[in-house]
Amino acid sequence: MTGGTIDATGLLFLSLREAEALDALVARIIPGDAADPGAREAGVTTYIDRALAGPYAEWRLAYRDGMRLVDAFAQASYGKRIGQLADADQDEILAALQEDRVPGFAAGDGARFFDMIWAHTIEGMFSDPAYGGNRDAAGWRLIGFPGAQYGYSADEMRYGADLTGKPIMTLADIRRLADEQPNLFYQRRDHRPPGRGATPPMPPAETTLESDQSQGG
Amino acid sequence: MAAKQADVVIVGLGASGAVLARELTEAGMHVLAIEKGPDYGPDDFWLKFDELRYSARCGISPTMDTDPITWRPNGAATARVAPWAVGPGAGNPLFLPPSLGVGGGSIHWACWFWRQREEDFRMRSVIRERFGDKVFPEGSRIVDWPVSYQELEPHYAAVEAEQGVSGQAGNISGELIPGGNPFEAPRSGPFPHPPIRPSASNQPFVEAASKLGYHPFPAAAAILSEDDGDRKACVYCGFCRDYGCHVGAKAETQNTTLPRAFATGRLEVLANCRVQRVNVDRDGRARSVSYVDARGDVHEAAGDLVVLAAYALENVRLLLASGINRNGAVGKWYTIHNYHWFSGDMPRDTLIYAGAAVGGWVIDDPNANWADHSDGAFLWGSPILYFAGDTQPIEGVRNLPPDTPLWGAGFKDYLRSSYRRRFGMYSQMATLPLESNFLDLDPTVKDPWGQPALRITHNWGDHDRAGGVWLNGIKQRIAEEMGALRTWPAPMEPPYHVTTHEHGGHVMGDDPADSVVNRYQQSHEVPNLFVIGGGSFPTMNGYNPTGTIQALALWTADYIKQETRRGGALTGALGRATA
Ligand SMILES: Cc1cc2nc3c(=O)[nH]c(=O)nc-3n(C[C@H](O)[C@H](O)[C@H](O)COP(=O)(O)OP(=O)(O)OC[C@H]3O[C@@H](n4cnc5c(N)ncnc54)[C@H](O)[C@@H]3O)c2cc1C
Repeated sequence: MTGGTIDATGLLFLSLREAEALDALVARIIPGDAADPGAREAGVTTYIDRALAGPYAEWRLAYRDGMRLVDAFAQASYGKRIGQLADADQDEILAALQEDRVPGFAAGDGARFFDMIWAHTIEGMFSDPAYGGNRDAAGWRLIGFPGAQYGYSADEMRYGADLTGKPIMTLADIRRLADEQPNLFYQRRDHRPPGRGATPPMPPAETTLESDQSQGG
Repeated sequence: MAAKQADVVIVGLGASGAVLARELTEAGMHVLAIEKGPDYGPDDFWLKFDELRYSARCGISPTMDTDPITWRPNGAATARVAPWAVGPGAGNPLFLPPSLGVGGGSIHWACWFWRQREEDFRMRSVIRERFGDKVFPEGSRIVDWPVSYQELEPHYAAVEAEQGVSGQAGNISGELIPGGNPFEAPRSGPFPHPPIRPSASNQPFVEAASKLGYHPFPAAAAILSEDDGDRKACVYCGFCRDYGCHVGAKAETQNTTLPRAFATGRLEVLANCRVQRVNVDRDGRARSVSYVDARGDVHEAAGDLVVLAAYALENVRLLLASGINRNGAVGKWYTIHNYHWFSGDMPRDTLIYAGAAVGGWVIDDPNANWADHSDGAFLWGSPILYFAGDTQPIEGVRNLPPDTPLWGAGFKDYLRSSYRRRFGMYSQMATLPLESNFLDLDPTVKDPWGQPALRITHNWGDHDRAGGVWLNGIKQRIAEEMGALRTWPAPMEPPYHVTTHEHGGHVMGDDPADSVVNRYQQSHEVPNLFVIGGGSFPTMNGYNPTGTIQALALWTADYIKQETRRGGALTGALGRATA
């Protein structure tokens, strides 16, 4: 139970209170500390917050409602919000969610909420750090994945080889490599004719502005 | 009436459409290709090292919001939008149609490249000769193909040369070559390039399989093992299946094939435009296609010949949406693969993330008619493919062994120890062409442009289960011989019913009464319409299909070139003389 990993000013969708509750849950899914980081230290909550603010907008209400019920259950059971509980008590709540025992959810929805948080925890832990999680490649270090490598040599690709000493690369490193040494990447001599403009002009501006009204919480 | 815009209008510029476009433009025809996805430039995949975007979120695949497909297990059930492809968790492009854009499915394919065996073209005869007529299940249509291996051989060779396939020949003109697939159909020559580098943990598989009496060999890969022109040799980055290639090693048709077509000056591409129907004149000929551009405006494009190369599923949808189905054969005999995934952990690190998936070797012994199928439990086998590369963490970690705790210290231990030691094997058990598995238009679900969704009616059956149990038994014995710490199979009946190897739906045949296209993939009903791809396969076998799909595209191109000459069956079809 370490506070302070949620940067309130950086939250794009979750409220601070929701973010703290979510952070407590993901930290029990992959527990950790500074020496051996888990989902909290890797910034999984930041990953989920950004995803909800963008591509996962569809799941906003499920999170909002789910976190409310989880926090209410913590209050009812222990008299505190989930983020303020001891690890063992948080584990109880996580187990109850997984087993669909948290009150307030329709039958099966609590377990489904667990599945969703679990799936997004995996994504946040093991996707490129560019997405807000997997800070300092903590997830990749944990499982022994060297990251976004340009390639591997024949000498490296042997059964039982230990590549834990290989510097981990991220998309940002690849980006730098592509800028510095574009000849390492595919180039094609192209013969595309000018054509008739395959991509038509953009639609008028007013129809491209997205309305956020339907997302009210 | 729309004015003619090209000799040939091709719908879809993917694995097969690009090959056809290249062949026809080089023969002097003007081709207009209309492609639903983007026109990818050479540097579009330089930063493809992103599992979240390309794999978990299926970033270049058609998804259910814009390209809905519905599914139901049988004709009595109500279909729902493919339940395995919607939801909050990580997706998998393997259970969606292939990627969109110029290059199509050849962008994110894993590049297993196969020629079918001779027997695969003669499935009915081979089964009947060995086991008699009684083994054919009721409601099935197991037939011989109307085209033979011998007829396709030169086209297979041409595709291998054009795409730059790397592999080890097993049989050249009847002579068995050590190190290759001893069951291979005779080839006219070797592969253009030597095999790619094997997966890091390939050796234990090869040793175990050999010890058990099987004949492992390197799978042929449509990936360069050495530099070739603009394209560089594979660097074994491991972001391969689901991703475009950052060095051009993978055979993506926008890199391998289309530069030559563009060089003729006779190929024009309309990208980000989706074709909605083929317009057929009162005289029964395809006049034009209608398409909607990125602004939502609908246009018509007319040509003398129209080719649907939009993938088996979309070809069928377009035929039905266009009302081209007089004999009722469109959508029938839908076949797919059941992969029977089988996973395990080895005692030491396998580098499951490195190299191409196709760097795993294969045994082809259990394929085709090797085993005794006389009890009819299942009729056709499958190769077993070692799969121990090209697996990124989100996918790898989610492939949970049974009884893994999903959270807490136990889960963290699993994360720490299992992924790095992971290996897999899979097989490709083909479903039988059965009356009960078919495609049609969904009566209610529409895409955002108001066009009907494709509906899949399909379920796994006893045949698929019997084959899977038998194949998994072989995988288990190999895994034990390899010294695997533990193994676990995927469910026998997986939740998905699209496996990117969709076949049938516009099957080819000589009889216009019970097939959709003839042996040249020309529509029986609309003579200036060709429908190409895996949808033409009358039966399916144990191999990944694209090599055959591309060879058939060349076979069709030859026919078009031949028959548009003076005196040919399509003479006069083209307004302009082409030869
Ligand atoms: C993850 C994955 C891995 C694979 N690995 C292998 C492998 O290792 N070996 C193998 O043999 N096969 C593999 N495949 C299958 C392979 O991708 C297909 O067999 C192959 O692409 C089919 O070729 P096609 O020309 O029929 O269709 P595609 O290559 O899919 O081309 C169809 C094109 O039509 C376009 N299109 C669709 N609808 C419309 C429309 N209405 N209007 C205009 N354009 C349209 C699409 O955008 C696309 O570009 C894999 C597929 C996937 C998804």
